[in-house]
Amino acid sequence: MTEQTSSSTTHFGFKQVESTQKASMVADVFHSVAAKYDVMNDLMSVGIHRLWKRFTIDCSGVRPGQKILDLAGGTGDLTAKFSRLVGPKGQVVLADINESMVKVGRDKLRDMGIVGNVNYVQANAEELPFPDNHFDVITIAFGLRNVTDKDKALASMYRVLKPGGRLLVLEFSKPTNEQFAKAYDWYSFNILPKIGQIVANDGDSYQYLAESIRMHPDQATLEGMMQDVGFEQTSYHNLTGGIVALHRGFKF
Amino acid sequence: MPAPQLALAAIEGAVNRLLSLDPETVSRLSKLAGKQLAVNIKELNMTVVVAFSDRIDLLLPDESVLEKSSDKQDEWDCKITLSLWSIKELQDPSRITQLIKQDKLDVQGDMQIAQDFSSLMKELEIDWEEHLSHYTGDVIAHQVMKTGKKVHETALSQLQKLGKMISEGAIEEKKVAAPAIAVVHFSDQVHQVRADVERLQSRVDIIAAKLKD
Repeated sequence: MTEQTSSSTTHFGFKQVESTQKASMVADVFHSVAAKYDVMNDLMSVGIHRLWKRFTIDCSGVRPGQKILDLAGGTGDLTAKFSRLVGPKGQVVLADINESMVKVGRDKLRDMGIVGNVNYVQANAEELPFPDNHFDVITIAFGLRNVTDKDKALASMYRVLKPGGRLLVLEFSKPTNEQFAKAYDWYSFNILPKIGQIVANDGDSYQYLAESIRMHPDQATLEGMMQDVGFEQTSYHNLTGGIVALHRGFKF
Repeated sequence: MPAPQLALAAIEGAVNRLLSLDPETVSRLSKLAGKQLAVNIKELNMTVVVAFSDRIDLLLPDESVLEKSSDKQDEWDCKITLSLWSIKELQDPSRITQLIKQDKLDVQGDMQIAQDFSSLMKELEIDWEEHLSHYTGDVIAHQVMKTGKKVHETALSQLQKLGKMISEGAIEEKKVAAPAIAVVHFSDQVHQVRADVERLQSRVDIIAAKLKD
């Protein structure tokens, strides 16, 4: 399944836009929220996003000396921990399509003293600028949702992953309980944009966030998409009642 | 909510906070940097990985990671498998060989990593008064610590007195518990009976074998 609804249009939240415009529209959203990104994540998820990311790292099986790609790495939450785990002989690449996010991430990690084994790359997930079979682990946390052509991005990740390597996709998904889903919907469309307006002075971006989550493929569909591009032993794990799911796939 | 991750995040935060309070931690941690120690607790069927760098990260590898690692002996630098009940006994290094023989402890890989980690935690020397003085000033910090020590000592001595009183009451007056010497004597008797039964069992086995022939 691809997000593109016809050859020339795609979703941007609930709106239909030209495929060529989506990347720049998403970029505008993230330029706007970059400075308050971490604060907003903590506020919106009551800090639980940190546990979802911990779970992702627990599932990565990362070892010293490995090469990790933290795609859509944003403000570097995963990169910070990966950097310590791979050690000086390993390498972590924080890649994000958005310049503002890379800048915020780079400043934050350098302020934390994380230097030496981390590289920063502004890159489009659909056309990753890395050699074939290069990374041991690729993670993309809360990023795939914003990619215009998800199939192309997954194929690109498959190409740069080493045989034996694993892809971890942490993304908003579909809650498994109907009542819970209704409460979550109400929160997403009524409370979330208001928090965004008050804290980041940008309600529209958070309205887009809520809409883009609803337009994102559900757990089984995304797993199928991963299989279609070649990933094997795919599985997913629902977190917090399916608000978020961690998908995992291997390249052999 | 991933509850195990929440618990581990809290422990990790507390451990790193404690380590940061001792200036010697940096040099002690540098010996372990880049190493990973896996601790498997039998009763909980749970493996926690302690990853060392300039701080400590705790990981809770999921099944896919554990399955993959079971094929590779060298996945962790050191792996310890132990029982919850043997954790206290581990504090005495002279008991380690005995625990391994009794199958209560299994160590694979570089044992030195486990020992260095144990030393790191044991040798923590935190000058609480110094840290408190940053918030309250020297005089208040000194008074607080002095009072704290006094309260601690008094509480400890009162607890000891209370324990002694309860123990004497239970043993001497109410006769609901046995004195320590009686317990030791009883244990000796049990050991004697066990040895006698084992001897008898071997004799019966020999006789049974002879009768068969």
